[in-house]
Amino acid sequence: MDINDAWIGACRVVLGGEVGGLEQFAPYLTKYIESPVERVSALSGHALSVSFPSYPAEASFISNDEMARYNQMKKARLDINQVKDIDSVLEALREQIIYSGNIVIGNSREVSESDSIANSQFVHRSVRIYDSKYVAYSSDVRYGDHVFGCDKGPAPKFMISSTHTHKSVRGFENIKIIMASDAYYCANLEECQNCLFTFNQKSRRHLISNCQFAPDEYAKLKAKLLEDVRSRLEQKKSVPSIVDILRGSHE
Amino acid sequence: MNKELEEAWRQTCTIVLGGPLGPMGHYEGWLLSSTRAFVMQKSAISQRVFPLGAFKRFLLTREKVVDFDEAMKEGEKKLAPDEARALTLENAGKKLAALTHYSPEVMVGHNVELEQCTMVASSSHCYKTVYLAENKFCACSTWPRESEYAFGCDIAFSSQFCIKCYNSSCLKRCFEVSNGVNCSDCYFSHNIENCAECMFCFNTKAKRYAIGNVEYPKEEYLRVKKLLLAEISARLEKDKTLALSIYNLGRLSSAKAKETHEKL
Repeated sequence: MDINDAWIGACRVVLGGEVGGLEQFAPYLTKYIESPVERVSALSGHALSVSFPSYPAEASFISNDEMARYNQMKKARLDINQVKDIDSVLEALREQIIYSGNIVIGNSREVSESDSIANSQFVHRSVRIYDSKYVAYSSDVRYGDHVFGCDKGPAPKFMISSTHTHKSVRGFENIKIIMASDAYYCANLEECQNCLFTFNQKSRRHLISNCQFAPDEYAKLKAKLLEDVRSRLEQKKSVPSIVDILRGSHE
Repeated sequence: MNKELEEAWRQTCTIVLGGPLGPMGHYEGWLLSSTRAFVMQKSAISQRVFPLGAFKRFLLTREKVVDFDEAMKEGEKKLAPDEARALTLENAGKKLAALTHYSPEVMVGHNVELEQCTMVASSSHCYKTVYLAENKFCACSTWPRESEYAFGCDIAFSSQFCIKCYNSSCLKRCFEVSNGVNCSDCYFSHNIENCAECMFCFNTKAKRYAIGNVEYPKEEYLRVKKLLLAEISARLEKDKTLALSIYNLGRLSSAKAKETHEKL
């Protein structure tokens, strides 16, 4: 299974059906996420991804997989007796100050266009991802699984386009949901399940706009909403976001 | 700021830089630079001020943000069942306007002596720190996790006695290190792994007593280290900031080279 397969699977689980391949949703998924910054390797000229956005324009880079080649370059040996201050050291080492992009370490594989990745598999266009798998267009995720367009996610699973989803599963367009499941367009939930357009709740289920529904009626209304979401995503590659809902605006 | 955290700062500076600096308050601006910080946000209801993580979805909805207690009160509001049934993606923004104040604050687990922190789990004696879990004595940082005595760091996992370290894990007694793993006593280094007693090392592993990726006899290294730490401490004591950082080493050395060339 590759990252695109994982996206398709996540859409089936979260949205009730497929909406198309992952790449076409890049603009939608990256709208509220810190994305990798593209720089160029000083050794090979190849593009690479960097997670820190504010390196000086004149900073030099290599790709992390060019480390061996970098270390074959002659390194300045200081005359220790001539070292007077930091500036004299930096002067001697000037040519060696080259940063790395595409840093992928630990038990990681199938990582593309990403930086600062550790112990993660199948990661695409993301930064600062740790101990995760099947993550794309995301940042600052740890212990994530099938995560797309998310940030600040400790242990999210099957989560799309959300921020701060602590140990939550199956969600879409949420902000700050803690140990919640099956939440759509929600903000500030704790230990809730099956909520749509719901805000500031704890230990509740089958809510729509904070109003309680019977499970079967809730399921019908949820199916209707998800059909609308899928249709818009298929046609426009975008939907109104939780940000739009909270601000009272929509695209 | 509590006395214990101030003492932790003093100890960390002594261990990392060779001697104490002044009160941590004098260095807040420097410590917070190069970290993803937070903004102080007024509640939309009470005007109470609290820290808000400077993350896009939070910032774009900040006019809807309230504190935690206010949010739970807001949660008592709801739409009538027929209005809820009629919600669509088209009309939700308008129809839900009265319900959509929310709190981004999180505090889980047992927390002690936190000041101006937000998104917190099981931490103690922390100050101006965002998105933290299981830490002690951290300040002016973003996403420390299972760390102690971390100041001015952005992503420091399982680290101790670190000042201005970034995207790193398992560091001990480090200063201006980015993308470091399992390192100790390292300064101004980037993308290093299993290194100890290193300065200005880049893209390397398993080095000891090294400057610029070249290893030296222990006594020679320690002599240079002492000299450079004294200079760093002197600059910090005088200016309460340090222009040099791991992220601009190349630029400053280039600038100095250009200045030298022009003088010649």
